Amino acid sequence: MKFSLGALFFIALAATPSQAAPCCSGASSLPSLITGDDQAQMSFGASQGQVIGDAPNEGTPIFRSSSDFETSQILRLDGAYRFLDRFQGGLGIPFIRRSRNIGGNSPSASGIGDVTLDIAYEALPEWSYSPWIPHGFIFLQSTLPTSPSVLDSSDPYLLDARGRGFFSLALGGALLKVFGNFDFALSAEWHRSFARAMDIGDGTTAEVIPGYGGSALLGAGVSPWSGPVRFGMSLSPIFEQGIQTEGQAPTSSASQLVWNTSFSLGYAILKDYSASLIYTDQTLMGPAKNVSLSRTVAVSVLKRWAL
Amino acid sequence: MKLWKWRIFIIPLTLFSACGLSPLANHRNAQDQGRDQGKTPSEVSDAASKTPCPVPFPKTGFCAELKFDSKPNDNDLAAFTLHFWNAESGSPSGPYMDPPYPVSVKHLMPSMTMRVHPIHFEHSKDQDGSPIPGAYRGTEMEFSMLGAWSIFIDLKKGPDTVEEGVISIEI
Repeated sequence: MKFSLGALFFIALAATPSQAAPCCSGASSLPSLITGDDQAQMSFGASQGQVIGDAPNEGTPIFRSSSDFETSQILRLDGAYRFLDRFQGGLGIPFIRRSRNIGGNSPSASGIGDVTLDIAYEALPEWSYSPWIPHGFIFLQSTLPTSPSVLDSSDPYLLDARGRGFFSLALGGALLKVFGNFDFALSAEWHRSFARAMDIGDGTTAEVIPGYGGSALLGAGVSPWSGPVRFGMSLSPIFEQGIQTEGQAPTSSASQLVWNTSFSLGYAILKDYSASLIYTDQTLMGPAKNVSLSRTVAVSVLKRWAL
Repeated sequence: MKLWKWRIFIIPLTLFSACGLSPLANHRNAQDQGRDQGKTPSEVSDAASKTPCPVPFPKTGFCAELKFDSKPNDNDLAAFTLHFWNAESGSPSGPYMDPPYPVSVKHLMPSMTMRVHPIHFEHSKDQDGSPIPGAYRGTEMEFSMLGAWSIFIDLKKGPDTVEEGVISIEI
């Protein structure tokens, strides 16, 4: 039970839709992994986020006024299937709705976000108890630009921007370890996004060249009295290099950095079902550079199918 | 392995640094923007009015001034008036005249690569519908994020920019 909850914690965090402003980074690329003795799993998450402020490239962040209301709701479905003893594949599909108070009106836009596909290898299996060797995974994840981004937006105030706009490949790893009632997770990924063309509005196109990016997650949790409840927290920095634009007027944007701080409450409902309530705040840790800052509340339910 | 031995210092130091640079602990509020910055965009316009050539176009010998109807923000579409005058014979109060090339205005956030909706920009017109020399009107200008923005006033010859004036503002 203890390990299941620790694993649940990592799965829930990885699969939680914590991105309130798709225009401006803020979501890591950690996949939802099968960490127990399961054949398959599926999680469904729903979140409500609000943009609190904007962190400029230089200077201190500016928190928005109370009348400046930008929100997002995200429904996210994640599935993973073990197709070989130590190999698993996964799929993540978000559905995103964004709205913003503009001049007294609240227009909104919704649709599918960027779909993710991943494959993971259980590099350090837990076949026998070890007091110090963690449970480890290596994963490769691709993000498909299946939704409009800030490079393609046609709605006012970028409301229809729901993705990053680039095809990207990420390579990463995750380590999980349980000590008594405590569990720990450490994960990191490094990704490369690939260049594409962008319509710059006057009938011409420019090539936009993204750089590298990365994210990490350090988390810990406790299950009091080894019961079905688990309290956890995590810290996750997310970095994205700036974007170069080539064409008639070459430009170069600045890098982005944001820190997700999450507090979670997990509950094992039944043997194969568990639920999580997660609060993620991007204003607690810094520095934050060149991003919108949001606060998000998410709930997710996970169903597992045993081997 | 050596690095691992120092984890007891490195991990708390990293967390402490991240905490010390917390946006929650170190931020400005949009409502206080005018006070904190010292200048609001409208105050910038007022200050510009006191200079003889707020936006210079030395190659063509013109000056320009852009004035917002009200302080631009990130959740209302902004509108502005743009005036041009001859640098030698005119002043911010007139007489205004058209520059020798068509004028276009665009804006962007230099630190971000993102599409910005084109503004609605045209010659100001009098009651008869005739263009007023040297006067232009821009509307539907959106600033989607708080931060530093640049407004580019271009004199265009076909697709080429003959001369460009830049105004930097903080939203």
